[in-house]
Amino acid sequence: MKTESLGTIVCTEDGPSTENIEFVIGNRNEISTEKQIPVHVGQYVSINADEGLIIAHIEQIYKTNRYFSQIDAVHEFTRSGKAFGAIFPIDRWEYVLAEAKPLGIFNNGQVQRVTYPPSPGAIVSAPDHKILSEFLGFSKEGIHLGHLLFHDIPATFNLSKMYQKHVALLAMSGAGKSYAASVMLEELLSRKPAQGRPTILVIDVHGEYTGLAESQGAKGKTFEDQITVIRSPLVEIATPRMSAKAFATYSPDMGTIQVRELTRIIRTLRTARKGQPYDIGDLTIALEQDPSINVRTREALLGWLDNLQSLRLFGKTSTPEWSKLMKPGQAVILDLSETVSLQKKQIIVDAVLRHLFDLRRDGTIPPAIVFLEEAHQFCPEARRALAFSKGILETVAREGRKYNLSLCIISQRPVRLSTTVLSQCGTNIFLRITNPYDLDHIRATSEKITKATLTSISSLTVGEALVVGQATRFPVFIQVRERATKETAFGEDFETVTRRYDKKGKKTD
Amino acid sequence: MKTISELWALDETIQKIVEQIQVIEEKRNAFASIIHSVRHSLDLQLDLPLAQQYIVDGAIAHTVKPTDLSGLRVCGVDGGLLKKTLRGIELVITRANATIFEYTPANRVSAIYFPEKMTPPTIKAELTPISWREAEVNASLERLKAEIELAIRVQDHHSTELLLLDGSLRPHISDRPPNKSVFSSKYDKIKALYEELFVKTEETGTLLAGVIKDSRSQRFMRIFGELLPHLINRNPELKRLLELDYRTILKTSYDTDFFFRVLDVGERSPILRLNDFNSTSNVESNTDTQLDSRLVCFYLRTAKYDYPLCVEVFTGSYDPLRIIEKISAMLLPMSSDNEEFALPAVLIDADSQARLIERDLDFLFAQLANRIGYPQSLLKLRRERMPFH
Ligand SMILES: Nc1ncnc2c1ncn2[C@@H]1O[C@H](COP(=O)(O)OP(=O)(O)OP(=O)(O)O)[C@@H](O)[C@H]1O
Ligand SMILES: [Mg+2]
Repeated sequence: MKTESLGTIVCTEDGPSTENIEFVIGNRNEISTEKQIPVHVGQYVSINADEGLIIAHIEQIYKTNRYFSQIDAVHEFTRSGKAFGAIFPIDRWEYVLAEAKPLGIFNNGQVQRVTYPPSPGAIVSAPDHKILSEFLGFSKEGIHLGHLLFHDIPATFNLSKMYQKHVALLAMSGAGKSYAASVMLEELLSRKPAQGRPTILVIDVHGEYTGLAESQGAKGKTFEDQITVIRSPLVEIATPRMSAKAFATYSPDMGTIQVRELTRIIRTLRTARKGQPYDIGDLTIALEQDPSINVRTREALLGWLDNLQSLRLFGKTSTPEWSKLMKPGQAVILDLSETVSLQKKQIIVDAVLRHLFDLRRDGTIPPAIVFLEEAHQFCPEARRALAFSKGILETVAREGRKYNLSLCIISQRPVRLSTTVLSQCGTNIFLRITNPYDLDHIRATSEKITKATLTSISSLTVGEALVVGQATRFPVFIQVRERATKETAFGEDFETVTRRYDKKGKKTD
Repeated sequence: MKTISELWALDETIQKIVEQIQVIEEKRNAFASIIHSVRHSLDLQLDLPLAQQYIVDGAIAHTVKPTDLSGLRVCGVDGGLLKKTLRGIELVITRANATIFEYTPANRVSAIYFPEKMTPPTIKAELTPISWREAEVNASLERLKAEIELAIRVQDHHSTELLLLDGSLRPHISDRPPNKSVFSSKYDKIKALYEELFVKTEETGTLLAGVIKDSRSQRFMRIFGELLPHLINRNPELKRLLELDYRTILKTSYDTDFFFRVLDVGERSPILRLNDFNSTSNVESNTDTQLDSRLVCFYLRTAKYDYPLCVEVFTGSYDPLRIIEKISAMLLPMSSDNEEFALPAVLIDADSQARLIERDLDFLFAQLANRIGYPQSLLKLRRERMPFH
């Protein structure tokens, strides 16, 4: 096993312990001449100890120099304005200390808890790649999102571990959520039939995923053949699939009596139609012609139906025909960018998800993964913020696992997300988040996150992510890989877009 | 309830001490201010045999021109000592270290450590029962020995312009073991080592100086006391001194205290020869130190709020004036970076290298006890094991 020695464990007031070790970093002189940084916060190290190979995670690095440890002396010696380094050989006395947290012991492929600390004086090394990869729980094949930060180790996640219990992709705006989601999609779409291919629905609020299907990718990669883009104006919801309860979801003032009456009328209409599809217009007529209904109930129901009709979302059948599109290895991008009304978007999402849930429940479609952008708009936490799609999302979050219908929740405001949904996400992927409320919320919903980890979330840079939960054995920091497909104009910077716009203007002149 | 201040009658006690100090301070200041005003002009009358015998140059103060340190290599040698009395064992732990500063033209100090950075200490055990005083002397001699041996040895490995010892270039009189002591031969050995050091520095062409941190010497006070009647006779401006009880002032002052008042920053005292006081003169024999005619000493004021450095120099067969001029020109810029602390930086570094802290050696005692098979209580003195401490 090739190991590179990084330093030596030293004694501290409370260590080395099973919780915390500190080591002084190797040959200082070598370091200063080579001008390279030997270790980073976030890096993993290994220590050969009595119990086996301890893998630890560097949480903090600090420097000491006894020449600067007495403030008054430093002050007095520099009053003249002379550089301290011109009076004393300060370079010779700088030491770098790293604080690391032992994560576990790796013994013949087994990971155990650390129950006995390493000894002072023990050598701290850079871990073997294969061991570290196994220790952290990466898999050989699966979803290759990038590489482990500070280590040349591919960050590949087992498909089941990642999607069995939903994924939350959380970060502030511009941190790279959509980018990371696209990388995930590339991975899912690249799977071979032998590996098992889920079907995918991307609820694309801003229309930023269409690039996946465009042919001129950065690496010439495209998934044209596997992707269908559905623009929201074309979506129609099959009225016959709607129960009275479903209507009530979109008309929250509807009372129990009205629901009961509507249920009766729908049933009558269905019988009369003998399986032929109908739309809201047909329903309205049936309602008007019903002899036994109370006038006020009729008027109220007619009002609600009229409202829904005016949304122009409901037809006789479902468009597109979801069961035909949702095939293994296929993805549907539901582009909602042309729909302005939030309520309308929520109704679409609700109806589509209900439909998929049913299709998945009876096995009409393969295991599916639903990517939901701007998730906080569709399943907000606040009671006041009524969202038509919240109910089904919470249902899928709670029960989807049983039917292999998995969610990938994407949001820049975790604090506004339904805690029911968030707490059902087995894997959390965090990119940079700085908002303290969001951070508090994350801390409250995920027990695996320590304070130190939380702090590091706020210092991630674009493309760096923290993966926590089922998908790995320990929280890991990764660098999301470059995507192989083309990014939509959304990803382009302000200047590029401005320049192109200007050029266009010149041509028309 | 009475406060502690009241109980201890602190106010009165402090007041008394303050008054005592004030009286002396006033006298010293009055005396010093007269001398200060003539410090450059006063001729110490080197035509008098008495003066010639003990003083190299004529005025009380000499302005030092600091040299540019860049390119210079200076070595500082210091020794640390820890004496530990265990039951039946006298442990002496020493560590001698040399720090070599190289002042680079890039205005940066780089250091070489000899024999190495963080030199491990040397541990010696004495098993024959000895008195407290002998134990003290023995320990002190061990440290001296380590220091001087290292000062000799370092010159074989590194050549420097100036070699600075932390402390005197002669054994202190308190280091002389009592008559017929088992350590007499050790003392003789150390005297021989000093000789060897002198020879070595002459061979290697290194300037050798010892910087005494807290000198209690009154040598100049005594010489000056002898000279003053003559000086007052010849210099009317000194007549005012007669109004002061200057003999008492001189008797109760240390040289460093006097020069602190009389020298300005950047000035040095006259050079004093460290030869034996003539037994026929009225200068009392100085019993503090071993004397040596090849040695001189001077005081150098480098810091505004600290006493002047007391520097001893081995001049060998060279002209003391030339050598002191060189050494003071180097010492001044090396020691004047801190207004409140006067010591060459290289000696500050050497000190922190050599210093031994008892806590660092606890593990040694523990291991010792362990291996001998004693409980630590039998090894450690009772006074170190007092409960509730
Ligand atoms: N792993 C990465 N490698 C290189 N560039 C990246 C990476 N991740 C994100 N970026 C860049 O960062 C920018 C923002 O990314 P993205 O649009 O994915 O952010 P977002 O979190 O989805 O933001 P919003 O909340 O506004 O939707 C894009 O220009 C993208 O190219
Ligand atoms: Mg986005």
